[in-house]
Amino acid sequence: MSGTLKLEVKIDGKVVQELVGSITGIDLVVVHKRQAEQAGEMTRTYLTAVSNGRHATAQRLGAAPTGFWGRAAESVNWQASASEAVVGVSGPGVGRAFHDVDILPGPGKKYLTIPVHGAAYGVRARELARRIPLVLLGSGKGAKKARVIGMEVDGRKQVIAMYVMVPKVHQKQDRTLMPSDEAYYAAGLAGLRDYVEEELSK
Amino acid sequence: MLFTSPLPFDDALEELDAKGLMPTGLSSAEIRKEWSAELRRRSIFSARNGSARYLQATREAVGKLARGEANLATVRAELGDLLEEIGYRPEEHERGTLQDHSSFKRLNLLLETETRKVLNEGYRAKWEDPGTRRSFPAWELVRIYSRRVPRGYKMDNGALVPLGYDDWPSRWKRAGGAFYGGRMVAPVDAEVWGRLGSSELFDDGLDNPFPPFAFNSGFGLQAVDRRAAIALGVIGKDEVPGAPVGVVSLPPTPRTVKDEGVLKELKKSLDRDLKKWDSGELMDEELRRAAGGGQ
Repeated sequence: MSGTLKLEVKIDGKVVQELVGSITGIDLVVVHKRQAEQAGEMTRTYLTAVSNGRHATAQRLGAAPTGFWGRAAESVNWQASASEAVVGVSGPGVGRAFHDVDILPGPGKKYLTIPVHGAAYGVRARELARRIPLVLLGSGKGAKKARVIGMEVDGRKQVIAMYVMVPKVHQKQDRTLMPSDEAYYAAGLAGLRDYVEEELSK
Repeated sequence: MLFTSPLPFDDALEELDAKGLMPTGLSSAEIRKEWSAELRRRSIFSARNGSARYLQATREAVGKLARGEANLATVRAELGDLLEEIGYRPEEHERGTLQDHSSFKRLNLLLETETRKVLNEGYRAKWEDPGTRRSFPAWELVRIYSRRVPRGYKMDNGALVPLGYDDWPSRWKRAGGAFYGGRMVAPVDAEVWGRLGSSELFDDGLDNPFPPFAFNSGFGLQAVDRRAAIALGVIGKDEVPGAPVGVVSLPPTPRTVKDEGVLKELKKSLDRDLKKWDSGELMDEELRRAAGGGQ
């Protein structure tokens, strides 16, 4: 599957430089660390809400959610340097928050298998084939040929469609998969304030 | 770009690579009885699985999931391929059950549990920094992974019915946790975090002071920032908790900005700019957006 494996949101150090650059003794690495923490925790909370709130495909198919967004939430990591704060999120396809994504078959493969039945959701066709008899069906000709992987029932008297095979899937950008720019800006300011309060407490 | 210190999360991934492989014929219950929590934490094992090759493949699969290099279906299929390759066949009466190493149930449980352990151990280690503990002095136990039938419930004629026991609020109470406005919140150094996963209290406890606290748990940690923790009454106005259980605190650092006046002015300015953030209005908007956005 193509798509960003790790997303990095960078909080530009220039904003901090404008606000505090002239203050003697400012430790920019710590400032950026506090900003990264606020932005990272906000991202984690946001992705937890995505994980709990969005299951349209699983619900439509009557399947259990795969836990993808929960893992993305728990994968949120952050780091800081003297010049910036960076929040990272890992997971195949998380880049869809910032750009369109084309999902392509893996190396050596011509098609993706898209589940159309609850039992196939979140399960690779070859895994399912170890458990139930699957057959490949096709209709139409040439480029319009539809390919379906189905489950044989009653000696092939009936076939229940489990997957549709397609050469690629194009997913449009969905910016709501990650926090807004306004939220990241606020998190950056909140982190700076954490640093200021920390200094004042010493 | 230079980073001043390795990330605790990176350290956790390195620790995954350093874990010992422990092929064993023991059952889960026997492992929990015979092996210390520390040994289990430092090892890759699977009950009644004596194949070092399979355990190595499990470690690699968990690493891929933790790094986001592959999804669960892909790594699970790869482990299934390997089991087939090494000639694994379940006992007929165990086929499809948790005892069957090739079943979805078993593979999902193994991969999800081990991946969450790696991610959460790394996450928790960030609280070694006293400054982090000042900014985020508490955690809340919240649902991270949705479930069709949550722990403490059963399905009855298509409707979820509470059992009245074994849900997370009941466990939280049993582990000594307090509720704040109905929320399961505690300072990061509170004992409850060490007790929530105790197999002495809960049969399915994993004996780790980090999530998942129990097998098949969808609950995890959400950091609570200082203002919210004080408003809830979880900590006092000037309180900074100690390091979480098992995490060694970094030493505190001295103040480096000598001009207190300029810091106070900057704080006033930031307080003005952060009104929408402090009131919770911004996060409420964000969370509505998160739950209801397009797919």
